[in-house]
Amino acid sequence: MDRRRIADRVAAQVVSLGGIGVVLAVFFIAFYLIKEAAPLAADPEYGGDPIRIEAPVGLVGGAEKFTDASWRLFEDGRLQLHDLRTGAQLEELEPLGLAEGETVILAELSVDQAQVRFATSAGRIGILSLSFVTSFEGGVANADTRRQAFGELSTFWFVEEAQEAVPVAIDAVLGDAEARTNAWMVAAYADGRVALTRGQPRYNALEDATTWRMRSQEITLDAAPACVVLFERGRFLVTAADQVYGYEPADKFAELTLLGQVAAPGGEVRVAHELIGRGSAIVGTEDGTISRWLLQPVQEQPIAPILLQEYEVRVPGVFAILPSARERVFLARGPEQALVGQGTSGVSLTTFELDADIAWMNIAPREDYLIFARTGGAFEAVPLDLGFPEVTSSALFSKLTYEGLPEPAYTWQSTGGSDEYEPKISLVPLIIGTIKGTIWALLPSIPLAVAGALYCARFLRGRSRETIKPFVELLAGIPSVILGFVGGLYLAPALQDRLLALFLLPLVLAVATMGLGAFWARMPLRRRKTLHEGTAVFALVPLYLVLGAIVLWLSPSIELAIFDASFSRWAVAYFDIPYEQKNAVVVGLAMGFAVTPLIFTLAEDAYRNVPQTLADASLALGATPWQTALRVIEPPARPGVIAAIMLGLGRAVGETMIVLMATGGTAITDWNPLQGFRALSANLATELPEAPKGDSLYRTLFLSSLLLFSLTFVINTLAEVIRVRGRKDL
Amino acid sequence: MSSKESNDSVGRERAHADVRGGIGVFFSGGALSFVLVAAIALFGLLFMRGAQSFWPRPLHEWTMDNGQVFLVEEFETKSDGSIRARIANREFQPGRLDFVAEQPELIKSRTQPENAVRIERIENGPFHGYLVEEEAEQDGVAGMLVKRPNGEELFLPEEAVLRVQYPNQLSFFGRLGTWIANFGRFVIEKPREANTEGGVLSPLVGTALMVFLMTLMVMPFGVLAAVYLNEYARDTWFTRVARVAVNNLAGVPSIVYGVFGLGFLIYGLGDTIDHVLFGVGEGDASIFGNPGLLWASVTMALLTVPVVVVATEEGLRAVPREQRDGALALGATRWEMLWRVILPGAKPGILTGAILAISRAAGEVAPLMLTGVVGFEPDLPISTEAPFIHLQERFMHLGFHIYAVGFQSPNVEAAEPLVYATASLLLVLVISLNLVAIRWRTKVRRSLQGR
Repeated sequence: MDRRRIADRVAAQVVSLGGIGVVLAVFFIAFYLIKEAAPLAADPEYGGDPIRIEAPVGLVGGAEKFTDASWRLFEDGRLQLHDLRTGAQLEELEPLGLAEGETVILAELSVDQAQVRFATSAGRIGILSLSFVTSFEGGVANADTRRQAFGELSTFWFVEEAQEAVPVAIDAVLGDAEARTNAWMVAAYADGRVALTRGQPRYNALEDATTWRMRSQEITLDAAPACVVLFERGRFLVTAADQVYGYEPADKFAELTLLGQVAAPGGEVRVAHELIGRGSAIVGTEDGTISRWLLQPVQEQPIAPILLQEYEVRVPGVFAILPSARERVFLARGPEQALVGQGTSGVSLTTFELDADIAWMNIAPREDYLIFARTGGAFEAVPLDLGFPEVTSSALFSKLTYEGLPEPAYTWQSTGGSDEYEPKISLVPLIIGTIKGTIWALLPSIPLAVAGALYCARFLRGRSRETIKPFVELLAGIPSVILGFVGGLYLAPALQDRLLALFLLPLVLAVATMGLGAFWARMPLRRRKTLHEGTAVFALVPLYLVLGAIVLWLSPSIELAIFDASFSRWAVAYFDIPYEQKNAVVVGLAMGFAVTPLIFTLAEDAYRNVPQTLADASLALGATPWQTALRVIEPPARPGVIAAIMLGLGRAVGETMIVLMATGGTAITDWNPLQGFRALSANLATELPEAPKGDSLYRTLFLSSLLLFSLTFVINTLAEVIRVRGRKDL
Repeated sequence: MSSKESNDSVGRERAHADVRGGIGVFFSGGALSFVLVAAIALFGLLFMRGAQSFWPRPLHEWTMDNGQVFLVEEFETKSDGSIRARIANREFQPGRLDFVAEQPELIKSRTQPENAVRIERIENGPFHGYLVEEEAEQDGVAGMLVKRPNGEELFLPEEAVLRVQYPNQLSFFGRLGTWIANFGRFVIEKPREANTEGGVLSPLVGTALMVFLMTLMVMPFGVLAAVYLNEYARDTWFTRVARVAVNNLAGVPSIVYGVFGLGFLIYGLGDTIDHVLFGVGEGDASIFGNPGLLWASVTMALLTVPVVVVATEEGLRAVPREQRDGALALGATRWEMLWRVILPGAKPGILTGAILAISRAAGEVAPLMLTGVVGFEPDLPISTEAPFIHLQERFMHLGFHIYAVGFQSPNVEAAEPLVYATASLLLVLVISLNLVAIRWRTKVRRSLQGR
């Protein structure tokens, strides 16, 4: 007896625990999606225990990517490397080979922090390339045994001979001999001269060496130039007073052409710097206004300097722009405060106060520290966590102008060929794709499923209903990958040849149905024994099969006869619309196979549940069966039918394989049904496996799956509520 | 107005209503008929094409206007009038394509040579040509000497040849026999040559293993949850919310489960297991921190929990109250009542749940794409070496096979017939499972209605 009691207690505990556990596990899914997407909204964090060593400051410097060591370049051309953990000096070199008395007067770090472009007091201009070698002490690889040293250092000279004039601003990029890309340098002088130098690689196969052929062109501005920024292919921005000029080398480098001249907001330009990829520049002006500029054609205008956006936060006295080496993020530095801004969406992320004794600073290559050099001879690395600056609400949901794209657009193109690629993560085209696919799936499904369900529930009799209903239910179980395959590999090419059938088939079938119905209605009542409401379907199925086959078979010939080509080709030419073989109509047709049986089954139940007594009363009062169905059966069943449609909607929204296989998958914001689309669901299936864990794309995809989850959850809950309400009314 | 007139007008109205009503009824019947016709067409297309892919087609020798000679299996006439045909001999075709499409007027002569031979090979797909010497030798390697349709001779080493067929010499029953043999080989052979040749054994076994593991996991938990909700929990807001939630989860897109599986199971749990049990550090190759069989099964189990819960609850409700009361009146504890009376009574419902879960898992592909499926991996995830089932390995799946071969294969055209066959196989599997489930469920519902 006791043992039984104990067993009973234990069982009750186990079942309750297990049951509650399963239910909670289910809630956990939603919670987890939120947890993974939440860091996207986190604010940047700055502060904490700094790494600090005593070391001379130099002209310019930074840290290598592990922030194990810091380097600095001095006026006299020396280059030092210090260990950041011990403070010991590791190396001192003189890689520039300066002449006696020559000093570095201008030095600027490149975006990737692997190069220093510099000018000397002798007017010589070059790029110093840095590299670091990481080794491990004692053969064990971890952060403690890691040692840094300078790797190969090289200097590329644009102006190697001593000059009289010394530049006030320079910008330069290295070329690549193997990829046959040119080296470019632009230098501005106090007398108004701006010189563009091009280095062309010449490969000598005999000596296996590359020589660079240098050519220069110059223009003279009316005012003294202040800043220069190089863009692609030798195009550059140069500023003088409050004007921003755009130039490009033209006519095979025979001259420099003015592309345009625009006044910068906020007065005289104080500072300008490129962002990663050299597709845009950040400009700071006298009153602290920070703005982002492009040099590209926009909205069918020729190439010109374009003021893209002004940042909300001003940095009074701004004198340096320090870009991140990882993404389109920069730090605009004034004497007292600094602004962290994001390039693509033009958002001011955060600001912070700066001490007065800072000689120079920058964002560490991995964006994990802010590096400071203090005038007193100290060097600091303060932990920094910018979060996911690229994912802002405007990046996700607004129309933006991207580098290199002709006009503002909603674009999803998360990854590109290189690390310098500007991610385009607008969810709008994906949401539009999902909506478009859903609409085209429901368009044919709703009338077919609802009318068919009404017929099945109210006109079919006994045994035929018992076989037809489970048959349609079975259709709901067809794996969507099969439907996607049929859609993509069979329907898509078939539809292209007989697009007209899309209009022809319903027309022919409707006429046939109408004819049969009219014929039946005019039949004397006593003859209506074999063909009646309940058997119509047995006449219609073979009729449809034959007519359908004929229409589909003849359609290409008819199209050829009328349009002299396939209808799709004709329509493309006539309406001037693009046609994609795997388009929204194909998805709609394929998805119809998945959605129709679902709506049908639930709607049939709803129609079936209306009490027969109501129908009997209506028929007894002289209403025809159709009047009874429409006026007596349909109204009380309506909530159930609406719930069925909503569940079908939920299914269509989340369907993945059909959308993946039966569309081209380009993320476009076009409602044209003859073009494909990319839906939220299919996007997850293709991009998530490739997304590095924990980065901004990964989390953006989690956000989109949360969106999908919430969407279907709301739809399904709504359907449930409607259904329960309707049942109460009955 | 005379009474006769008014009668007439009533009659006319009635007749109008009849015509309109008749058309209304016929249109609603038409909607149902259209659905049925579409379904028939879909099944017909898949099964016809699937069956056709095993049917040995005769080899036609085409002599073209420009003097080229092909030996082809004719497939279909395309809408532009050209004949699409499998030309085989992939290694000699530009772009390694198996198929050509030629306008019939460019074909000068079209014959069916008796001695035309079709050889299935390990590499480069089938060979069409003529046999010159059955037992030849070249560089000390035994094999056969064959002739391409254009007359060039070619040596095929013995181990490269799988089968030699003379399709043009087959009688109808010979063809039927070959058809059956081809189908058999399709089921028991592993895929070859990036899925364009061979069978579907690996995806079949992969699917079965995944579904088996999934069933092991989902059944106890699904039944537990249903028993709790239906038998133990009082009707509180929690159970009501839980029920709505479980119902709703059935409608959550399957890809979302895949996202959860990848994020939580693989990158979360898997990485932790690797770290704690196997001491895998950063930068090392992960073991369970990668998509694989285990995580795919767990994800599928999560996906099918609502299916099992709903079906089991229905089964539990079908057990009559009198039986419960009777058991309790005879002195049984609640657990004894549950174990001896309710669960046996709910068996049809539980089995329905199991079968529906299995059929759902067998056909679902999207979550697997994130959690462990792979396009081509002929080696099975089971072996005779411990631990026998390799839970951490990626596996092939019938549904994903369709996607991979039909949409990611370098040679879609050559593989297309096989995709139809795979799709038919999967369809038959899933449909039969569903049929069984529907029969069980009808049983449950009948006993529910009986009360």
